[in-house]
Amino acid sequence: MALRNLVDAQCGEGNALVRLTQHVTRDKSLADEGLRWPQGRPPTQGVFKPQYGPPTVVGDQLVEEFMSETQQAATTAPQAFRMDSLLQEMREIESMRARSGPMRGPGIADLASEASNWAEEYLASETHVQEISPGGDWTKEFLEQQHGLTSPDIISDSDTRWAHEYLNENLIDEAASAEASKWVEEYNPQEDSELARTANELLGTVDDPKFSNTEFMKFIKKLGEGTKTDVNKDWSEEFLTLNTKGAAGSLADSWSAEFMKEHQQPHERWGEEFAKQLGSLDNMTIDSESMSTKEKENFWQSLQDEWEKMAREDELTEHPWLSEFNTSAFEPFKNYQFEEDNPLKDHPDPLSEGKRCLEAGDLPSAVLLFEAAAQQTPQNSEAWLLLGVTHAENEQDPSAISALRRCVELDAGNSVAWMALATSYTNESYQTLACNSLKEWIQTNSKYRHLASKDEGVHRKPKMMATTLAPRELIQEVQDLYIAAANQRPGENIDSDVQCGLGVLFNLTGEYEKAIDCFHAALSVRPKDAKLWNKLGATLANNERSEEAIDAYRNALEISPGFIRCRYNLGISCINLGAHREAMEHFLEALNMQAAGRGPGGKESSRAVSDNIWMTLRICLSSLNARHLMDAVDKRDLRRLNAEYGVGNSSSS
Amino acid sequence: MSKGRVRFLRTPNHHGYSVKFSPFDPNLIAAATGQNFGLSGGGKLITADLGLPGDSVLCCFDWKDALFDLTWSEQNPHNIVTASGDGSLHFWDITKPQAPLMVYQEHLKEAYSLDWSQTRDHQLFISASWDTTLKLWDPNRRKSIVTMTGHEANVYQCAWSPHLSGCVASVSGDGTLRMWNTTKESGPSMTIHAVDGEALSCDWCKYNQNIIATAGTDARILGWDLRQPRHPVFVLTGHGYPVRRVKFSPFNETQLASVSYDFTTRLWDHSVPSPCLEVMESHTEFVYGLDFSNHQESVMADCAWDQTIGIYNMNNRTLPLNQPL
Repeated sequence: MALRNLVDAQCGEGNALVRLTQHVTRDKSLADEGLRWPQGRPPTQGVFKPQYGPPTVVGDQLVEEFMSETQQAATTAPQAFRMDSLLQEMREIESMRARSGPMRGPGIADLASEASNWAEEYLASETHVQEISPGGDWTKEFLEQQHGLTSPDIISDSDTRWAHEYLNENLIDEAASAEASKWVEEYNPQEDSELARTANELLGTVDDPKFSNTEFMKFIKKLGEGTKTDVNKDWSEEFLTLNTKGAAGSLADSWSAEFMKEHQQPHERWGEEFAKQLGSLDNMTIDSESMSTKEKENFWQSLQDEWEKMAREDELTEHPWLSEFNTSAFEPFKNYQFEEDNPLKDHPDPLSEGKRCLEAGDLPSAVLLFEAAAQQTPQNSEAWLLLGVTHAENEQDPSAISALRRCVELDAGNSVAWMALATSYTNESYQTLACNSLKEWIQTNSKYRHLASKDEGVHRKPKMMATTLAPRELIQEVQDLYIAAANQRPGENIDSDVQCGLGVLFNLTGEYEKAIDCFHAALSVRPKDAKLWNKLGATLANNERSEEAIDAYRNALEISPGFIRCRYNLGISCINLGAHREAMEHFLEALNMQAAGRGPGGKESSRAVSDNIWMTLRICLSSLNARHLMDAVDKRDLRRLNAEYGVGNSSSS
Repeated sequence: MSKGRVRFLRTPNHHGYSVKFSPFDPNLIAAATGQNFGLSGGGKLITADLGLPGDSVLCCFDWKDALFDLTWSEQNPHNIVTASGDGSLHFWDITKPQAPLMVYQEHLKEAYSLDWSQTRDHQLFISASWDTTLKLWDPNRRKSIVTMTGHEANVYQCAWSPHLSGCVASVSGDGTLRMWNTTKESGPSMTIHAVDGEALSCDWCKYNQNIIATAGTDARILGWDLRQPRHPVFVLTGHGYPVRRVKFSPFNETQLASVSYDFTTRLWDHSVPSPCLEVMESHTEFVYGLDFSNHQESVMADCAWDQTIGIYNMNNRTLPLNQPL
């Protein structure tokens, strides 16, 4: 039904999505969601009964109003899927919540304004509630009675003043603060509920199963449930949930006011200042009966931890206001994410078993075993190394990088890890990181260490740069290093690792011909190294020599039939040559192997399966014009695809 | 049917709103993106060099609000202007990623579309905003030159005519396509009620100065001849959901491409009986951005909310898929 409505637009009639702002202020929940109290009506209404007046009468009025509105909504069926209006409305709502600070360099200012914004919004929502709720007066009365404060209108103007008054009054008795806190808690979700309502509306208009699987819809769903908050606001939500007594709310205001002045200070010192603030606030003669000292300490401690965590955080993607410190994810893949449901987690000797699996070509099982090993003995760098290397072979570079980073953290001299890192970084286009890894390899290699220049601090944190493209000088430097290393052992004594490193470097710069020579040289020394064959193949293919690439891949797969990455590459080369059906077979075989290795009853985990392979498979299907299978791809229905292409559920053969 | 080759560039954690090829370098492409689907969080301008392996990312430029559109300068190969959700526009030098060279803050609401003048007689750009206005800017000046009012709802796209100097077209949530003469500060010189619903995109034909296409929430693409705007000269149907962007091919007078909320990118030729030439379903979320390469025939790019940029080569010539080492 909705599909038709979405397609047949009607001329600008009452469109649920377009008229969002007006609707948002009244309860616009769809009919089948049942009755909901309109905004402004706190659930635990009983507490406020005396001020509120006879609830039943007002209640009925509200119900009627609500019912008439719902009917209205039902008759005007949702029209075209007007994303942009919706986006606009949602952005408006969001902008109420997330007012960005003025354009300033120091991130602190933004942090501070976030802090005060939260306070403002918190109060603003209270005022907002007032405007539209017929029972709004109760808030006014409540406040006046309990606190002797001025009317709520003034509160929204100067939060700090309210805070100071509140504190100075020093008259919070237990009951009042309890009520205050409840009221605070109830009104916190106000803002979320507006957004949630908008989100739910959108959800209600979308029936098409194609959309329901999209990330966007999931995002909207989360908004609708009120669980998803802007990542910027995580800290504020946490603060609010920690807020057990109303006293804390006011402390936030004065604290936030303090921070407006703090914005000139650099980041680290700010952290200390904040701690001092906490100390001074603790000394204030605030009512401490309603909050035990322990409670208070814990609360402030966790808040401080939160702040310090943010102070250290340098991943821009989560905290965009820290733009001065980083402009790209320069510390990517920081934390390794373990498989949640690892059936092999308690294996008695996962490391040896993992090596056996690796030997036998069962990559997915090896991954699980090495994860188990890393969880059982997290200080064991070998476990991390094997985990990383196996992930790379399993076409999971991001996981590989996380694991390998852990390995070099524990064992900075692990040259195998550095080379593997260089390869994975190259694949992910992190050029500078790849170059640095190659340099580290030289440093950690006793034969060539002397070649590296002395003034580079080995473990110096890489400069924050906005680009992942390596500067020309760095590339030249690494190139010179490796060429010097290669020349050190001329003629017959080729060091295949050096050649491999050079090959990776040339891939990075796009000098594929040279890279091919390097890998040939490396293979002359180690003809049975499947990974080298794969690298050769990939270089050939990236240089548009796909037929030769396929030969190289076949060599690799003969040596190591479970080498998933290689099989994936083979598939791509087939696509390049126009052999799409064959390519599908290769992709499916690779995916089957990945699925098989998860152990019995292992549920589909998005992490163990390579997204790359699925994406490429999708492209392949699109070329095959097999649109009817697209939803099989979306659902990752291997069985159906296998049946379609005559691929059996092969175990690693 | 589709023999084209696709290559994906990833824009992790960022959802693409617009993608544009550089007018100077055939391998250079830039995308305007936002976090959280552009609803909250910051934004990133990403430049990529298609000659490099992997995601080809050259450089990223961050802004504290989502970026909705960008335009390359026609004057200097290093300059890009971006438009953001906080109404500001920014002038970047891509060799200096720390901060924009200039910020133009005048729009009262989200700045949604940008276009650099396509005629050589002046170097100006236009911005369109949800505050219902369009503004004309000289990049060297912080204040806008002209503000064009007349639309009654969000303006979704603005486009300079490549033929008529000073002529700009814009489409809006009020369903209209309006023409403006930027040399006169007055209202629109023409208004066409183009879409029953909201008009999301418009683009000029590169070979015929009278033809302009619009696309909107009614999932159709309409072509208009400005000499007789009473009814469209062609109607392209096929998309299942609103068409987010439409673009005429720089190489073919009658070819255009479109992207839509139905996750597809389509290539059309309005002069043949069965106009839909290709349907590419390479994305898993709404496709938002679209551009043709001016240097290589049949190369197109699109960007989608599945955090990828798709590069298509509609010829049989293979655009290589990256093979990991």
